[in-house]
Amino acid sequence: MKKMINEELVFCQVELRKGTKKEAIQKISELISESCGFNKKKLAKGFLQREKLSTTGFGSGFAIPHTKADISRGVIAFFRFEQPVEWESMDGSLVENAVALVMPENDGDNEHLKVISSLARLLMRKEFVESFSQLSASDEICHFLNEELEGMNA
Amino acid sequence: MKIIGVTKCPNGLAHTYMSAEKLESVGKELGYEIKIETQGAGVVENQLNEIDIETADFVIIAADAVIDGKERFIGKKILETPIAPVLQNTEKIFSELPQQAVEFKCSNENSQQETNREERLGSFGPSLLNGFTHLLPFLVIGGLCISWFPYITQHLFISEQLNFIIIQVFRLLSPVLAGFIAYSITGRASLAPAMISSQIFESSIDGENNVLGIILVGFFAGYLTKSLSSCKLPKSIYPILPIVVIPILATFITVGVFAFLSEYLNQIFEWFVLILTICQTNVVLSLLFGAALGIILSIDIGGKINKVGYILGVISLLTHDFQVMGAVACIIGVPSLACYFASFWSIDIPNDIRYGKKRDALFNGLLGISEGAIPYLDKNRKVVLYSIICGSAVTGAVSMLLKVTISIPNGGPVAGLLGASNNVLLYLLTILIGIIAVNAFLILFGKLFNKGVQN
Repeated sequence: MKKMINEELVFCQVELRKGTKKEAIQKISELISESCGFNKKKLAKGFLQREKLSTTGFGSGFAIPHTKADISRGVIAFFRFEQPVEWESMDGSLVENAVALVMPENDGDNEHLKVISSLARLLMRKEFVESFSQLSASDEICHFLNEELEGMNA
Repeated sequence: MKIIGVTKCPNGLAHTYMSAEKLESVGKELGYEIKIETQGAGVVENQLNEIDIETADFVIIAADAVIDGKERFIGKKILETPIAPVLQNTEKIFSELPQQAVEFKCSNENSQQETNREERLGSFGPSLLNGFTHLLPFLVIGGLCISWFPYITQHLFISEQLNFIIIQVFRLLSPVLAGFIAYSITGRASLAPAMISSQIFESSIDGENNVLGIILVGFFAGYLTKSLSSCKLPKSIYPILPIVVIPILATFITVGVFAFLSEYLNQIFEWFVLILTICQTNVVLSLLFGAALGIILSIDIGGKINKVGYILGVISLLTHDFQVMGAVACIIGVPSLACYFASFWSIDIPNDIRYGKKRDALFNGLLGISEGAIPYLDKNRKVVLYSIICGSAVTGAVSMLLKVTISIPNGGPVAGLLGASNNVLLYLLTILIGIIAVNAFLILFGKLFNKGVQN
């Protein structure tokens, strides 16, 4: 089983100036682009367009901004913000954790869809969210996410 | 109790699965047998089979997009909801299920775009619009043929052919209008009753199209079919209901009822046409009428009131009166164009995702789509909206004064350039006056509200 999440894409203590959704998304796009070599602006535009359809802040302090891009392998990145972000969440809560997903346009064997659907399902489970929120080191977070995702697909 | 469901979101990535997970976990906690089909991006997982559907007590459809295979649930009690409430309060969805779920009757392919919220509010407005939307291409063809007619009458052969086309197109208008109003209410079972009845109703009149009558036929046939199909009948004959039983019954009833009503409806419609004619012949009245049209069409750009004005224009087209549509056509191009030109000197909007490209307003305006002005309203709502309303009123009045006509249900300069106007130059002049008027009001109101239209 391949590792789903790379430690380089786990960002704890992300600093924002204003704490708005737009700023958070720009920051997310910037960090992802830096380590993966994407076009920062295009990426941010994709995330924002998705947010326009409906917010991806689904409550409990979590958001999952996602978009598609012309890439061969999908990217999953984790962000924990230093100060909570106003994400227009469904339950009105501020967002502290964001799992950003960039999927390839052509997802031949639907491998990435499986990851994102597993992740989406996991985030609906209270136990998962609770034990996840307690983790703070990036290697722990990375390890935990990969283990849980593998458990889902087993 | 067994509950099944389908989840689907626009991207098919996350919310589809989140809502499925919520429904499954909460449903199981509450002690239900539950199975949720996820219609994700390109893949359907956990697909519901016939046995699932047959044995289920309730169906929950949690979707922000049109789901596939809704017709599988005909005869089942279904609850349709957007995804957000499912994620926010899943327990509530389950607790309200017995009261909120309604038996699903006919697959209503057309109004699936509109959410169930609109269905619950009653489908009067959307159905009427649906009828007119389907009518538009017919009117464009018929209208263009009519306005080109004078230019080619010298070529006898072509003019005969053209005349033939016009006659045939106009014969189709009533069935299409009534048919698609009914269709959006009840789906395909009502299409035949509405089309046939409207054609028969129309042939009972001499002369002009009784549009109001035709619309009534559409609604009558639609709701009649709906009530017929909600009669309790053995399940075994369900497959032939929408093809055989209901259309036959609905057609005969509708034809009969409107044969009886036609005399009264014609009387009412004659008054309506008379009022419209008076509004156009008396100079003072015609100016007021044009100004009123301008206000109606611009007061809620792209909204419901706007549609009323537009439909009035289309109705008048059906009665071969092209002057009302002429005013409408001039007015609907003005807001976008005026804002586009104003953006060079006063209301500048940024070229970003939220607003779209600035030139969108130009193209919208050229095609007679007033929605292009909407982004500009963000800047200084009061000043811009009032200027647009007053400028549109001026446009309407000028158009009535100059007696400009348009024979197709489109507007903006393009409609004139297609040759649909009696006088292209006057038509374009009217639009130009409108643009100038809106800009003049921008200066005036900008000073009046003591704020200026500058940022």
